[in-house]
Amino acid sequence: MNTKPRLLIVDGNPYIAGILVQNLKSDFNISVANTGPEAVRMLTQGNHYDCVLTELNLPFFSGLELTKFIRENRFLRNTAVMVLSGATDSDTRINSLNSGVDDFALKPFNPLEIRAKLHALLRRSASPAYETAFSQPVPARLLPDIKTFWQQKTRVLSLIRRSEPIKQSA
Amino acid sequence: MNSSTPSCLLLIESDNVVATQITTLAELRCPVVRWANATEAGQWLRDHADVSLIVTDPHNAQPVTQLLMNNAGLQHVPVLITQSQQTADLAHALPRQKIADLLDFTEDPDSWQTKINYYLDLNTHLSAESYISPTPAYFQFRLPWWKRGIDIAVSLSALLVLSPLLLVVAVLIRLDSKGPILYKSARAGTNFRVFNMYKFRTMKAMADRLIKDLKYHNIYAKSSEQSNIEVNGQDYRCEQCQLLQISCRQPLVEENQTVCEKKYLTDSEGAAKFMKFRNDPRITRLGTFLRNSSIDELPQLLNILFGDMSLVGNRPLPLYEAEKLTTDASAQRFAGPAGLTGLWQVKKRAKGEGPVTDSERIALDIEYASTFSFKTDMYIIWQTLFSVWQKENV
Repeated sequence: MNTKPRLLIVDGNPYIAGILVQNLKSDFNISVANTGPEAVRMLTQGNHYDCVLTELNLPFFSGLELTKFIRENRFLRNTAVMVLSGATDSDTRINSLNSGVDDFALKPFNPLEIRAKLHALLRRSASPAYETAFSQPVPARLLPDIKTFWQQKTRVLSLIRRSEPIKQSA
Repeated sequence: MNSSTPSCLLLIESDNVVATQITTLAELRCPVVRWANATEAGQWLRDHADVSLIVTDPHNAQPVTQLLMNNAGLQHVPVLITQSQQTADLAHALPRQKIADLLDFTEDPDSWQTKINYYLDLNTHLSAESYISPTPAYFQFRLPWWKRGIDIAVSLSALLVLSPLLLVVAVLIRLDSKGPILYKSARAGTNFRVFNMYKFRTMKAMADRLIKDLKYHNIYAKSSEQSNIEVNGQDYRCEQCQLLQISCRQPLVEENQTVCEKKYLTDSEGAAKFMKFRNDPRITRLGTFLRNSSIDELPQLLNILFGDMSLVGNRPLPLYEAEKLTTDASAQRFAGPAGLTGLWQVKKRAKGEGPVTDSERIALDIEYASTFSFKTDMYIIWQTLFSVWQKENV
């Protein structure tokens, strides 16, 4: 389970990228670029990514240009591309999907939904990295698992008392 | 590298036919320098750094990439590999290291001509701009040590001092109405990390399920009647289409009606981002007192002790609210500490100026996230002590 799929996040806003990294880092090996040219450099240096998550409105080199670049490239053309953008109108969405984007999500976004969508994309693109990392089907989860305070506390108490370990609920 | 300096295409190709084809095409754009193998090219490269594209045959691919890795000035130059009739499909056979793309001579000439032009253009285009951003690629907030230190010291001593009060309140909640003593809700805090926030229960059990019925009592809602008329009205077109007297150009299909997309977007922009209700019927008798005295917030001292929150910071938001703030304009509010009390509480709410608008609240959150210091923290704690008893019943 140590080879996670590699994800390239391209977004000009470091705070948006920060939110995505916080919520996706458990499932993906993440690289971040702030501009289109940075992303192109990372892609042409021979780094391999299983998936690219890009904003459309990028300085110097737009997300659509980046998508076209990926689709034209013999090495990269099968990379899954997903757009996460603040552009709200359906024309932009249709145009992007027609230009080679695989999925489209709108800002504001729920990071957990983005995670689910990326998993859905990667299940379909036959990526060897994805299959080794997530060979078991990922169960649908609405919220990340949060260990409750009481569970932790009872576990600590049981350690102190050196009584029998408490059975964990399934 | 400046776009005005004459740069050249470096060609390392043993096949004369292919080499002639590339040279004929590229010479219109920039000078072409051809070498028979990577060793000779490497010697030449020591004195010439202004290369904008390297084209090489598969045999020399490995030594060329080695050359590039040892030469810091050439790290950014894209390398194209030629694929001719003799060489098998290289897309899977080649090591991907440092190689940008394949130049496929088995395809029609237009496609590889376009490709060479594209990469020449790309390099001019990219090197013309100083695009390397000075800011970090992504921002992850970390609590400074002094803030964490204060948090642990204050929350631990406060829990000890207040423990008799907490015990009494816990017993009272149990006696007042059925349900658990603590209420925990999933909140998005610093960097949108989701955690369970603890509060004393002030509402009847299962209160979360009733939230949909209460939408219309929301004090943050803006003119909800207006949007209702528009959706139920006969003319679903936007003003523009109405003026031009044409049918809707951006129709969205709903279950049993059509909505103009432009209108739909304007309406949804007006929808409230936060929910708070005046005189919420779900609150218990004891709950009203606990809320007014802010005693219901005290279990959050546990969250502070665990490090989920800090004493001062932006309110960690329920997920349905938080996901609405992940836009370019307001995402920065998550780049600060999540806290028990904050700038928003002491600046606006305490003065009883009525409800704060969404944008004012987000602006205050961002202001705190980008400017907080030991001094502002102390000021906010001091101000909070005065505003603990809320003047507004929210």
